[in-house]
Amino acid sequence: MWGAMVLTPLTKEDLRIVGFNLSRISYVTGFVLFLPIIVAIFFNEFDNIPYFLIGSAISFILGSILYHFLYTQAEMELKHALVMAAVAWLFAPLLASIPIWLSGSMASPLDACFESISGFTGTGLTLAPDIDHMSRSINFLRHFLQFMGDGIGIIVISLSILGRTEMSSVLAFKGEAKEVGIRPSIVRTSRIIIGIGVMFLAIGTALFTVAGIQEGLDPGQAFFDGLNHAMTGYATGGFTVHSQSLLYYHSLWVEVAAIVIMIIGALNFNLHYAVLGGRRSEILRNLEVRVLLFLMVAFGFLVSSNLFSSGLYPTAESLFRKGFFQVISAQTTTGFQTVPPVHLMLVWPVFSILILSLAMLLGGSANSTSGGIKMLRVGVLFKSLVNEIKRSLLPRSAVVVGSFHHVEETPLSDKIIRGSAVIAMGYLILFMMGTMLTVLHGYGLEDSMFETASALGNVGLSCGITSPSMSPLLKVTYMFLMWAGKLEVIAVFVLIGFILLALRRGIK
Amino acid sequence: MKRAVLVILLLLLLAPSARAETLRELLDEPASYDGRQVSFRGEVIGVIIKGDHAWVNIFDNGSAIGVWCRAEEAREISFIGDYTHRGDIVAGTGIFHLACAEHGGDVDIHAISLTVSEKGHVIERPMDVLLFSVSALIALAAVLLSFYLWHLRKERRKRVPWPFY
Repeated sequence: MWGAMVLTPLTKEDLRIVGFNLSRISYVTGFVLFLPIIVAIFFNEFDNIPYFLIGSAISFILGSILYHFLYTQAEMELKHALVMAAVAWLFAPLLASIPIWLSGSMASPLDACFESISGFTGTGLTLAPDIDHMSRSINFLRHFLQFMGDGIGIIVISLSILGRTEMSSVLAFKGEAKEVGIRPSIVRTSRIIIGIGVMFLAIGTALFTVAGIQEGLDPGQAFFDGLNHAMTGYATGGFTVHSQSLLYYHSLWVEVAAIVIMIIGALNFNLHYAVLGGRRSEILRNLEVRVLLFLMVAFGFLVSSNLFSSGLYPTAESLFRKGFFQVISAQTTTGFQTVPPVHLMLVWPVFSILILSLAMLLGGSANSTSGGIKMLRVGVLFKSLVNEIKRSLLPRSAVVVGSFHHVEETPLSDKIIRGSAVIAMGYLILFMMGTMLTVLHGYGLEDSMFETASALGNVGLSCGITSPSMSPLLKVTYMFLMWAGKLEVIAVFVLIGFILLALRRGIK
Repeated sequence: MKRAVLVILLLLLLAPSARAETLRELLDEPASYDGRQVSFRGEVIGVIIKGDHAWVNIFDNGSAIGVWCRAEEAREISFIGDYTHRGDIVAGTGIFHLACAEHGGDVDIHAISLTVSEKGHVIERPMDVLLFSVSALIALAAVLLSFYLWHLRKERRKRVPWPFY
């Protein structure tokens, strides 16, 4: 798909198309920023209402101006979709950072932008200095951003539903590296994705609420916390309403509820649709599910063994609740923690940190709310490696044909392998760059690898590096990594290519 | 007499094992405090009663930890810290665990004693009338601008119809 595209300089009409489509993002962000006003009214946080009003109004004003002055009937092409996706994932968080900054919950506008990008991309790294004293409405907004941004995929959905033609909607999905194909109609696909998200949000909220009440929380707090954690759990985002993350509850049942919702979030939308449509056998036949479950069990076993041998966690329950839980949180790219961040840096053995970093880099399923390289690509690359080994062992005349099962039987073509390898390579390049920059700031290698993998894989686990006192350069670096990771790298390189072309040849 | 002085000295020597530590010190150097008696102090940010015991989550200078105490001690707490409340400040002594075997490996403190040393209070968060007025004006401007531009577009379409694609 990418190879067929010729990189020609952007014209003014191209910019007009991109700007016009940004107006839709602006409108949708305006709606998203308006909704927390209901929470503010419910919890008597009337002083917070102006922040949301201002953020929402600015989004609508900007949307109206872009819509009016850049109105065009021109059709969106692939290059527009790629640039759109890259720009929209910066534009929407920038707007959403307005109420966060105005509320004074963050130390600086840069921190508010960081929080907003972390929210929209479903990462979960936070620079909030005092989450426990944050207003409920701002806290709700943080979680809601993750659900709408990553759980529902509001940017691509807004383009596809508000888009004028079917083609522009298909391109909107491709720009964000999401494959379409649940249903022939893209609008129907979008509705199904929203429906699946809302259904799992209801299930997750019920699970967390029941677990919370069972553990002694009052029903009101259990519901509010449950709703927020269901939003971020399904979005594999990882923001929580308390600074201690899930350790606040000291509860096995809350952690079990989190595991269920995290794994659901890390599974492919197509798989959800197939299973909900009655094809239950798909769960066990799907290549991605197999790879995901295998890696989770293998990594969980390795980390737990390592923690046990280091003498840190002596009981089976503690090995499950610390070792296995953190592996599942890392692999699904959620970022819920049951261990204080600083303990990952100071107490956990290096081997476990490296395994968690690897899990975060590999990530969950394609077409899911997870980040990382994705299980489908890992499975494809592994299968192609096995095929290569077979080829070298068999006679030259032998033909090795491979295929994999992913909702349907798919031949293992060179195109698929190449696509997977290019994206995996892109991730690794950014991972190395991020790690080196973090090391330059004086952090240890394994901690730098951990935090970089967390930002790039849109995970949100932290070993304590991410904090309000972190250097601005490192904050910007992690913001870039979260953004690039969300776009699966390619759209970023395309945008950089267009910017360089525009600088060299100008905009015609 | 000498024996009494010796006993008092011995008690004084043993007593410092319950040193005053900040939560940050406990969390940053957990191995050196693991299994030892420590003292703690912090603002209450959560109370979860479980039968005859309770979890009291306390917060101090950016660090938070759970304290496992008796339910009747937790019931003495009046204010839990959040956006509109300054939580009670509690202090006490207890045994610090880096990975508590009783509680699934959680880092926690099992309180020997826990008392409310400072009562919390309600934090007034009055609405800034000026800010609210400005925000309402901006919102009104957004609505008016959207309608005006929508009207302009409609008029333009009437004059020059867009080609149908």
